[in-house]
Formats: sequence, structure tokens, C-alpha cells
Amino acid sequence: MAYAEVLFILFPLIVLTGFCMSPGIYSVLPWMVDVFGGRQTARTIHFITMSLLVLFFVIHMLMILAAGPINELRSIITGRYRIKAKHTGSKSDGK
Amino acid sequence: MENKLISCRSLIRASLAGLATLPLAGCDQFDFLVNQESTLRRAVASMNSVTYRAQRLLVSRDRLAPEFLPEDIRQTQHPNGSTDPDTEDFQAIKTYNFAAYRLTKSGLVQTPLTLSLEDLRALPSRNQITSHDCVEGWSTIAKCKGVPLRTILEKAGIKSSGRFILIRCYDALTSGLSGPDLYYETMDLVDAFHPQSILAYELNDTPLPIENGAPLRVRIGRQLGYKMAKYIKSIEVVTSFENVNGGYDGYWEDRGYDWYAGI
Repeated sequence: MAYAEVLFILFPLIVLTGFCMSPGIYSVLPWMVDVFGGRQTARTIHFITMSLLVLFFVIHMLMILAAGPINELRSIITGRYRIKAKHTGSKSDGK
Repeated sequence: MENKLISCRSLIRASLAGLATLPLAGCDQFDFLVNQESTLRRAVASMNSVTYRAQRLLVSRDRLAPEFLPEDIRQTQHPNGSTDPDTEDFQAIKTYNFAAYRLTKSGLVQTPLTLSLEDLRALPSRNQITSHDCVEGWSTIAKCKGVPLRTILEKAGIKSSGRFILIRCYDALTSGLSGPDLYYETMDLVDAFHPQSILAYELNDTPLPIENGAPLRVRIGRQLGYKMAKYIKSIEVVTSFENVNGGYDGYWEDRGYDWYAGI
């Protein structure tokens, strides 16, 4: 759901509101600025969208750190995600 | 024996500790991004020329920026940058309503011109109500009357080696060791010959006020405000701007702005 939002809402929104700020594109697509309710509103939407995208990025970076970046990378390459033996076989290691 | 492998947790701890030292050194690490000569900055900034080429390719030469109705003018034109240049030559022409003002047109032209304000007013003019969009984030709709830059350029006749227009101004926002850093701006011939590029001497039906760039400022329909130089002293046709001031094609461009401000 979050990914669909980013891909289909935030990305198109940041590109389109970005177009609204270009005087060159404004001469070709003046109606687009009207769709967003004027240049200043487009700018505000652009700023909010940017903040959301940065937030999306920061959260993902934190999630990687929380999961252990080296282990994550290993699991991407080898398909094995190492889990500490203590938790899996603590009862059965009494010889 | 102890485990010689670096554990994941200790690696994170070490890298976080390393990151924590960054603020100690301040943001100096990123100073190379401010330096216009830096390779990384140049690589990123090279995308600006992609924008420029794409817009020149997709937007037809004479496509007009939207024009508005008189009732759309809701406030006076906000004066930005210099509002009363204190350079000596400007103070000299300021008296007597700029009667002594002469616009010179030189460089790679067939016939160099020298025009007074009266000469300019006598030429065919264009009235336009367009939006002035500043890179700082504000916009103002204003009515401007002036001579199309195209008229003057056709009068002077551009030589085939002329590729850019260089506008030199009276005002300076900062001073350097060699005196005031005079404002200047450049544009390509597409912008210069665009019907909405005018040398304005009237703003909202009154003579252009000093804070808005009297006696003459340029208005370009499809550009941001910092390309629209005020207090124009001279206009030159050049092949390149390598030897002009900072070499980055404009006052703000020398300080890191993009040359083609179409974004």
C-alpha cells in the first residue's frame, strides 16, 4: 500500500507540481497550474510531497539499520538470513 | 579463542560512532559541493543542460507565456535585489529623469547603436501583463511596456558569430577587491528574439520606478526573475562569456545559480 502510494501518487505528483514551477513549461501547459490551484499551491504540494518522499527514504534506511545491514546484504546475495543459534536451539545444547 | 569476526552489532556501533564525529567537524565536508569547480557538482549540474536542451526541443521558439487581464494585477511589483544603485555613473544619469541615459548596443553587430530613452520610446512598443516568477518562491503579475529586444537586435543586425546576449547593469549587490561586482546577465538568441522579451520602461502604466530598475529593465516571458536584469547599462552580442566577470554567465550564475533558469 505504501509502495503503491509512493509510486502512483507521490512520484507523479512531485513531477507534475515541478512542471508547474517552470516558466518554460508554464507557457505550454498553463492549465496544469490551474489544476493544482495556482503556482503557490503547486509549490506547497511540491514541498509536502518532497517531505513525504524524504520521510519514506529515512524510514527505509532506519529499517535496514534495525534489521542489520550486513545480514541483510548477505541474505540478498546468498538467500540465507543468519539467525543466532542461541534462540533456535537453546534447550537442546546440553550435550 | 574469541571470535575474530566483527559482529554486526559492533560494526553498526563503530559506524555510528564514526558518523557522530561528522558534526564535530561541522559541515565543512560538504563544502566541495559549493565549489563550482568540483567534479561531483559539475556532474550533477550537467543535468541543467539536459533541461535546457529538452525545453528548447519541446517548447516551440515563439510559444508565449500566459498573459493576464488588468484585474489580475493585485499588488505592485515587489522590488528585489538592488533598489537604488549607489554606483557613481548611475547617480550621474539618475538626475533629470534619466535624460542623460544612453543605452549602447555593441559587440558582434553590424551597426553599434546608442539610444536615449526618447529614442526607445519612439520605437514600436509592446504592452504585456505577465507573471514575474522569482526563484525565491514569489510571483507577481505586472503590466510592462517596452521595446521588444528583437526590434533593437534587428536594427543593429547580429553578425553570424554572435550567439548570446550580454546585459551589463549599473547596480552591484556585493563588492569585491576590484570594486563593485556589477550585475550582469546573459541569454541565448531564442530568449532574446522571443516576442515577450522586452526592454521595459513602463511598469503598470507609470514610468519604471527606480526600485524596479529605472531607466530600463528587461522582461523575459519564459524566465525566472534573476534573468530579468534591472538598471541596464549596455547590451552586447557575444560568442561566449568565458572572459566575462566570473565566467559563469551572470551575477547569480557566478554564485551557483543555473544559467538557463527555465528549471
